[in-house]
Amino acid sequence: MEGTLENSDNLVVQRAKDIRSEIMDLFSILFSGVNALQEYLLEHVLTCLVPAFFIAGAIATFIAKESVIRHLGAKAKKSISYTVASISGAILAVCSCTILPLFTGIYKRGAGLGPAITFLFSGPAINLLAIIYSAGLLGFDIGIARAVAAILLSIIIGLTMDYLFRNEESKGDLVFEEKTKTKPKIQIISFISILVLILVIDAAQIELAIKILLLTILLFTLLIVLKLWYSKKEIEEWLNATWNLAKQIVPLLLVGIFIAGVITAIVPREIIENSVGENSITSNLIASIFGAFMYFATLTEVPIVKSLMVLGMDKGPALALLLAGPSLSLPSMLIISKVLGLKKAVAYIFLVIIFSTLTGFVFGML
Amino acid sequence: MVKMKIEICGPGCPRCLSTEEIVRKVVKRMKVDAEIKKISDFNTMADLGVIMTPAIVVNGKVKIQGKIPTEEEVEKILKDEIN
Repeated sequence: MEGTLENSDNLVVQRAKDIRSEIMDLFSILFSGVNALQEYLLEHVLTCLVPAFFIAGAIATFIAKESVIRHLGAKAKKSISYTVASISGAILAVCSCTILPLFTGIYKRGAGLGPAITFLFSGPAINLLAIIYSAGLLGFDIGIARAVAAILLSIIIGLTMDYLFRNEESKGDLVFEEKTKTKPKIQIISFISILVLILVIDAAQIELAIKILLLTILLFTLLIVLKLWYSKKEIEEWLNATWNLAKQIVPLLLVGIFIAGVITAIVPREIIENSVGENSITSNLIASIFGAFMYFATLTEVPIVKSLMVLGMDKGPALALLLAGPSLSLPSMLIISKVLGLKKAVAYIFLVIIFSTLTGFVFGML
Repeated sequence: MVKMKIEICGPGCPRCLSTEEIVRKVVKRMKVDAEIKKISDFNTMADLGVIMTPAIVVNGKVKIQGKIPTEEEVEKILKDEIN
């Protein structure tokens, strides 16, 4: 009788202990999420993202988009339209939701399938925020490799698609009716260069006193430039664009960073090490396929790749994931296949996975 | 007067939502008799000639695209269309 009582007592105690440790686990998981957020906010938001948002806002407000889009029209020379398509994401695609309509427009009314695909692939990868953020968080080499590989791959994939479906003609022409008056080039260039310099100095690892001095000088120059050449309305427009962009991207990014922190805490190291810990064709393929199907909100791919790298992911698969990730996701696949038709969409998805795998593999060997 | 047809194009991101808000506000203030429609299908957008979102299309013509308009801009567009 007494024995059973003691037994059940023990059981209760054991249960209570289990529950407690489960709660503790849960706490520590949540805590790593919060920790990641905090660390991140301190280290990276201030140093690279805040200036980057101001630059992106300036690009969105002051650079005339029609001058870029003109080169993606049906009458543009092929060599030019591919080149422009591969790099114009930096100017046109400041936020990811502008990519799909532009892609559809270029495909249906402009330069056709090849350049449209080129734009679709490179857009999310070479936008300014993504490059700055990847270089800041993952390392300079991966940041640069990501931008260069995205540009080269986008042209290769665009040309391949164009060759595979070469009997297609695009109809109509892309016209961008709205004529915005643009400011003299020198005024735009000097304004944006000062912003870029502020970003570079802010992120540079130099002595604090020197940094503060340089930043003060730059901010002062910025004020002079604004005062001389920019009207109150233009400045307002720029600040509004910056704020809108931040409002749109930052909340989802914070969620992404939180998830990245949780991943670091709950995903067993062995799983990552066994699947993508070494640079092989298989590990790059796994990373590419995962990236292609998974949905990443703008920029969130970066902290998530970071936490996978902390868990032992090799840099080859990391690049493969960064290449295949933002340009494709399950939802975007559906939209793309609606615009292009199933056959072309499937071909595109295959090409993205294959080329991202190969590029990751080559980069991993360097 | 014929009913004005206003189409607002955008996939549904915050930028497009605030554009819609501004248009509705101005339409209400100016008491324009208008039918406001949201378009989030990219094929339809391309057929209309829209490539940058958010965009405002009035009676089938693209009036503004690629940025969130100010209230004054929307007001001007509507005034021009009425006259």
